[in-house]
Amino acid sequence: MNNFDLAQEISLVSDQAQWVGVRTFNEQTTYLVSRNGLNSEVSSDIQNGMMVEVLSHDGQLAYYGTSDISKDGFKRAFDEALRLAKLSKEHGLTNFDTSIRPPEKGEYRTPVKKDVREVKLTEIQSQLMQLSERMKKFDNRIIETSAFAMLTHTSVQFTSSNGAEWKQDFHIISRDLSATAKEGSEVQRRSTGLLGRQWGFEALEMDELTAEADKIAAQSIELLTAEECPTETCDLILMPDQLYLQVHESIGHPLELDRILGDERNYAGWSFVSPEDFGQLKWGPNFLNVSFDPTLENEMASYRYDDNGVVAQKQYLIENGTLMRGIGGIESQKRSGIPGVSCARSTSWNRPPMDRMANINIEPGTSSLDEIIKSTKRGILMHTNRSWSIDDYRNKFQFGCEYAQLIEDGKITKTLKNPNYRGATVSFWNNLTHVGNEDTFQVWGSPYCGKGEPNQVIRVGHAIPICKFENIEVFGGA
Amino acid sequence: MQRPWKNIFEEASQFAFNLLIDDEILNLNLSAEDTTFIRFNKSKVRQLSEVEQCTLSLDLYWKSKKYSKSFNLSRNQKSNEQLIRENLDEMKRVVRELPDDPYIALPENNGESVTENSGELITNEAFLNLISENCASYDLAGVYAAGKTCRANANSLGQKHWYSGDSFSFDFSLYSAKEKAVKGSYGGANFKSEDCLKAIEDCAQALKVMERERKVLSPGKYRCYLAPAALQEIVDIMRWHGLSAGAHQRGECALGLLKDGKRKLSPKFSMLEDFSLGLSPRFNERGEVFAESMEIIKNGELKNLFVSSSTAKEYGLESNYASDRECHRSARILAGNLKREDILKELGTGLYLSNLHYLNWSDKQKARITGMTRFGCLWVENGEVVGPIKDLRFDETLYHLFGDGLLELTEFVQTHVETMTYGERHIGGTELPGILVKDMSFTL
Repeated sequence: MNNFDLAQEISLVSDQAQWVGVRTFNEQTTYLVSRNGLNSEVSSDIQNGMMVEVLSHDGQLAYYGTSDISKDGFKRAFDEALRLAKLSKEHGLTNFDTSIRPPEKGEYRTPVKKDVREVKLTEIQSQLMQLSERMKKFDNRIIETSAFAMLTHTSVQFTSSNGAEWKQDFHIISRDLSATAKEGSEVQRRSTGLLGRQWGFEALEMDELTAEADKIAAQSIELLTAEECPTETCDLILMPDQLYLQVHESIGHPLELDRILGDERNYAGWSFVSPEDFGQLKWGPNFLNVSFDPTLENEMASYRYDDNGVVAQKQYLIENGTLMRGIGGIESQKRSGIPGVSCARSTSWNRPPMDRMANINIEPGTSSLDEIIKSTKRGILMHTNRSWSIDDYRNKFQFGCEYAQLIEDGKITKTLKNPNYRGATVSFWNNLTHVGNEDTFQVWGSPYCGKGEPNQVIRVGHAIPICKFENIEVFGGA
Repeated sequence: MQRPWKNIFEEASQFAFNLLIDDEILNLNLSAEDTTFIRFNKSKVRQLSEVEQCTLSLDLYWKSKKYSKSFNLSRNQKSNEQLIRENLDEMKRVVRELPDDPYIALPENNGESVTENSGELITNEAFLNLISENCASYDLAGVYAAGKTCRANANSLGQKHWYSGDSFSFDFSLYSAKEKAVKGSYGGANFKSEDCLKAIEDCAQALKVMERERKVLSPGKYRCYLAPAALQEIVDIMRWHGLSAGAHQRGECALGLLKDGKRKLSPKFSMLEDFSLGLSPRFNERGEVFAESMEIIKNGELKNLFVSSSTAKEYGLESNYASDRECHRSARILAGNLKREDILKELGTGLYLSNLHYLNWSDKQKARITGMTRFGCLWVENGEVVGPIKDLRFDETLYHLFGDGLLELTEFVQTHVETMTYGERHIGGTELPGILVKDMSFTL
């Protein structure tokens, strides 16, 4: 990415600061959309720049981002970052030293079966057009269909004055199919949910996508005549395409150490979790195990290094139903004294890293889906998120789903539309009764987690089995 | 002195247009900024960063096909021209291979415009000193963003628009020892230290009320006053398929029942898209120039949805030159008759909602939204503030909030300058009153 020797340039200025690091970032994302069998959009976005980070002799960090990736560009960015770091001398919240930037060397690359860049965009768009046309022709009550793919290739290179030298290459594809059906005033939309992983062209395998297209087209029609989800308190079974967002919002975010430290209070919010809860707070039954695992191959946020250069390792956040560890990078760990993980991440070259989720997963349990359904006297099984909201302490939440099924006396009896549920985080997780086995375990992820000031979106992964909860408040549409 | 982004844009656009052949048409958009971001926690600097960034977006049209691409430019003309040439070469090849888009709306020449708003910004050093000298006794968290932002459009048919301005925003909140919080903001183009300190002091005063005993309320229906900042959150969620003509055609418009005449809003409720607020350029990403002002809802009746040229082409409608997202960029809700000094008296017993948080559609077809109370929300009895509330979740329709539940709007309005910074500093804003509502539903 650089046409000059960055390490050499850094060495020329490194005596002016305690530490200097440069993260060079290049990312190309291509968006392809077909609506109703037609070519609707093909577009690409390239982000290319570098973030120069300086730790002053006074222990203050500052950042300067530029897309001028040249010797002159680096020198100017360094001067500006150093000026800002010196400016912080009397105003900084924390003093740091070089221990927060380990001198790691190495490389990471997403393992893919076939690099999607080897496939012509017109071929991929042709596939999407076939899928959206197929759904549109399924039934004349389907008024709108869409097939969407987002292809991302990211290259990050990190070089520092204390010898860090690593690079990472990520291949990420997200895809989604949707069908909207209408009859009279009833409108129902069904989708696959936006599924993102680190993978190659195998993400767009047509046999699987065709089966998905047929299923959601049929279910959009089925929902037109379905009963409204009842308002009651009963058992709730969440499929992975909903449960991943529940985990994200009600386990991931409240465990972020920068929230607990107060950095995020003005924007996304604080946390109901306090520092003394770690190692003590009961969070679900003994069989709930939640991990931070950036090492799981092909999950959305797998990596070897976070953006502070700390090597990623699998760690348990919740172990046997007890809160053990926070989602905080090396800076937050130093500030709080709470054990964390390697999770300092930034969205692009133009933003500094902060505490982010990566892959936050529920470890598989022992129950099959069949056993979970049979164990249910009366309950509702919900698929695919369509609405989400949670308070700034990450406690009171409400979610809506696209499609639900009523379970009576251990059997699925009917389809329900407009399903929603609400609850409060810890009591909800303490009402967990079953964790699905490996057969129910699915890898999900989202490219759109928003947080931070200035704002950043980040990709997160959640690998999740089916889970069942008891005594949950469910309800239908307006 | 760094080279102005306006010069970069003019060089880049001319260079790109000179590379076109045959029937190719090129539409360009530029978004650029030089920004300082200072993030605060406990009235101290948590993170300090600056960014110089410029994104050039190219839409290449060839017959009934279009391929779009965007990338970052620097202030280096030579490397910019190399980037433009490389990307345009690839675009020329790909666009010819793409299938036709039968609903493509080809660019036109919509003229020229130039808007340059200069302001007076404070230096970073002076701002940091202002905060450290005056806020040491407060627990303040938030972000200060300041600098020049630019938006531009040009196409190979001769259209050219430029919009730039100096601006700052300080979005912050203050916290008590008991974790109670009050939100404040100060933004604009001309920084005045005394105005900034007044905004902080107003928050500090409001925080004192939050020290009172917290009232825990049961779910149910409550009479509520929603301050302009709370209404802002509701108006924001309406940007997501709330008033989009394309979404209406696809069965996804939240106010579809209003459009179809099946539901009504209160005659007291009127909403405009009004660029006279001066917070956003009138031109969209195609360089089409939106009307200075357009009625969206007048006295409870829907007058216009936002119609982009591509939606117009697809569904046989008339474009009103909305952006591709078909949402408001400069919304205004007209004031009513409720005087500031009468708010508590008219509220009587109920909730004073200063802010809301994390809104989302809970039933889009019925225009129902859910969200949380946040920052400075109070319980009021017989016109007197009792104290802060434990947070509540609401779940209510726009047809109630702006319809049969709407009692009155304030006679004053507040301007909200956009503070979002995803990818870049966003521009735009709103002008909103507060609203008095009966029987607002709270569920958790």
